[in-house]
Amino acid sequence: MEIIQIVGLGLITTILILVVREQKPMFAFLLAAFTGLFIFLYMIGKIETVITVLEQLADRSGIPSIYLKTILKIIGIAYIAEFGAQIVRDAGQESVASKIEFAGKVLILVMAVPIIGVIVETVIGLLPAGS
Amino acid sequence: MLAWLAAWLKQIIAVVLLAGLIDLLLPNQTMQRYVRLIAGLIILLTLLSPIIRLLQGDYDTQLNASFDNWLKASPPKEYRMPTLEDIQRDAEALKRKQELAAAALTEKQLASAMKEALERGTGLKVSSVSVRLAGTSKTDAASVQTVEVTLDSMGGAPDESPGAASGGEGEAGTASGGEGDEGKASGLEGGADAGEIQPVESVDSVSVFVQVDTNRVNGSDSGQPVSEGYAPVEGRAAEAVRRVLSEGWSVPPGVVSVRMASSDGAGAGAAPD
Repeated sequence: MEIIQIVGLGLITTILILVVREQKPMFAFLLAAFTGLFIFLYMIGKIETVITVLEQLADRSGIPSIYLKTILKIIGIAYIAEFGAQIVRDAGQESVASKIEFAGKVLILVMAVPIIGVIVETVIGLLPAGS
Repeated sequence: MLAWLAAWLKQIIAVVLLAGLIDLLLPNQTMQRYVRLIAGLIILLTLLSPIIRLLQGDYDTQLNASFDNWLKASPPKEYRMPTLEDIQRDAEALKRKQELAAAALTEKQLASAMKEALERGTGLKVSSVSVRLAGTSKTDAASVQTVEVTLDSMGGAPDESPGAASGGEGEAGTASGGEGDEGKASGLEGGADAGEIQPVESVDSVSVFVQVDTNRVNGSDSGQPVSEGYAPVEGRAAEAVRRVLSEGWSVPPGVVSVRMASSDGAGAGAAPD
């Protein structure tokens, strides 16, 4: 029943923010940010279970561990970038948020570089020699 | 064959499942296209794995190596702000380098001026003059520590046998010390115009030693110049050389050593002491 706790926390925070915003917009933002951080960390702990399942899956089917590492890194990058971007967006800095997302996308794409390298080498190796 | 096929299929299924899971795990739509691309690449790699293995052996190690390279290459790229100490150290090093360069230039000019004056004043053929200065910092007074004059063996004065007077040179070498400071002051006005640059010692276009310790004024200095292939020169020629140097640059005669290239190898036997 953690979802009830989380939703309750969210509702209370929302009401508090609505009350406080008139007087101190700064505190309203801080409240939102810290609530978001709390929920994020709380849920990150839960993700561990999913990751364990993924690892088992990879183990049993003999996928090279490098794939799993890459995938987990991608997930982590996506989550962290998303979270940071949302907090910044809450503060009203849409442009900074989009830059954070941009950085996340670039990092995810960079993850693909070794894989692309291997594939390209294979494809070139498939072609007859001399090309 | 069947077992291998089963393993391959299992791998493909697992990767596809994995890709589906991360698609679910993803937080929002913005990242989805990018992650899907990479998941697709991984699936493609898995599908291709038999071909890859056929073509280039163990691509796993290759993939691992490229990942490791990529992961290892990133940390060194992070650059940090230089601290004040770093900057000061750099400045110190630069200053030292500059001083050394200035010293080299000064000593070169000094040596060439000396050579010219010697050739004019004594009529001897001087093949090279090397000046070694003591004192390297700007606040230090630079003094002429040793002057080494190499005469051309053809032009050298033949009135003395090379080894004959080598003992005298050894005593003469003890004289430098305090006079060296005056020698530098007046020597610089005669030689190079760079009065504020002290550490100068040049071996004519060969090499340059700047020596810091001013204590080395005892007899050991005079022993140095006599090296392989050179014979010390004393007598009239050496006196003439010393006179010119002490008149032009106030170099104390004790620090001047005169030698000539000995073609017959007599220099080895003629070493003083």
